[in-house]
Amino acid sequence: MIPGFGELGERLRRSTVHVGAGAEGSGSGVIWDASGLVITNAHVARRPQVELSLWDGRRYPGRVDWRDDARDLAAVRFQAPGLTVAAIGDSSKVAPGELVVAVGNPLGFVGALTTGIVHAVGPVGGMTRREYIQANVRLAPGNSGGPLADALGRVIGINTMVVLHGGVPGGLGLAIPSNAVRRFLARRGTRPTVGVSVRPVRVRFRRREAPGLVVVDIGRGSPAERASLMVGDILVAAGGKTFETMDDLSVAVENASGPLRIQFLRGDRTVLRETTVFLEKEAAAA
Amino acid sequence: VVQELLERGRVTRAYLGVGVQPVTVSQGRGQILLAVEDGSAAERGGLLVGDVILAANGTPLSDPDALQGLIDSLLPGGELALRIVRGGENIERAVTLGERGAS
Repeated sequence: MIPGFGELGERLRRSTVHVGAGAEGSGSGVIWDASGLVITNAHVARRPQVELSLWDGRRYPGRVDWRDDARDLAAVRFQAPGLTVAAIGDSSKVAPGELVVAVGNPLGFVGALTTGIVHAVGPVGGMTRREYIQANVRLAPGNSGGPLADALGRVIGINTMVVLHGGVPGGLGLAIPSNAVRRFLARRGTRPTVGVSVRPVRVRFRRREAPGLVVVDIGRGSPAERASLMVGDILVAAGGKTFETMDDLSVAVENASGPLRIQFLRGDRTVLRETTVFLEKEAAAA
Repeated sequence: VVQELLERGRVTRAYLGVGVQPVTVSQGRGQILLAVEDGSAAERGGLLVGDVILAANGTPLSDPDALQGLIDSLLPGGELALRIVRGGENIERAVTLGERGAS
């Protein structure tokens, strides 16, 4: 055993939180900085509001601030005094053969520690195009979103999934490298946004039934608010294209090179209205 | 319920025919209609997807259970007086409840 391993484990344990998303699941997270930023998996933080439990039993509400479902990462904000912040390592320095430690809440055991050896760093053959730290650590569902650390206790990855792989008993644990988390955080605030929450609906207009997106929330001071959109408006087209799926608004936003024309229905829907939204970069941690 | 079973041979439940979600508008908290079933009491009463119901029979509807509770307390044929925000304007509508399973 490396001297001081117990202390390393204790610090890691204290910088790991349990993330609860009600009936939609739970997992772990890492206290990334002293402002109360927690990194976890997007598939753990399924809801906009989650409950965070610290190692000492304290519980706090957390708000999902930013997520990337494709990379399976979410940034959650909360406020609590006396946080133990994780030491973040440089995942580009991780090499096969290295000793690693995972902390999480597998099967309800809070702050359970498991150790393993790094097998590889990179894409998993035939399975992913993205880079993972692959190690023979025993992970359970409650480990998702929790830290994978090197022998000095520096977090080098976020435990994300287990794959069955060439003769490794219990499978291979895959962790998103810490440098990928840094890139995820750097991207925050660079995507354009309208500033609305919408839900898909079917709407009848001009004797035909069509898919629409009804506005259920408008960000204060958002581009949508300045464009005079209101809760209850039903968006039916953007950038000249009628919506066919619920993703079409975000696709139109991503592809927009300037102001976005949005057509919508309001009130008793006698006319199709139109407004121009001047898109803005997403506000980081409002 | 027993009385009803004896008289009608079955239990009837009042039914509006909407899907809702809580929202906040400048007039206050309410329930936005995400779905209005074809042929339902809600459709007959002129309710539209996107309407925000603030109150029913004088009861503020800050959570979805309040609306369901109110409907459950009434019989088919009972009336709901709704305070609604539609297109930013306050309107009122009276809806006569239908029966669950009937259209």
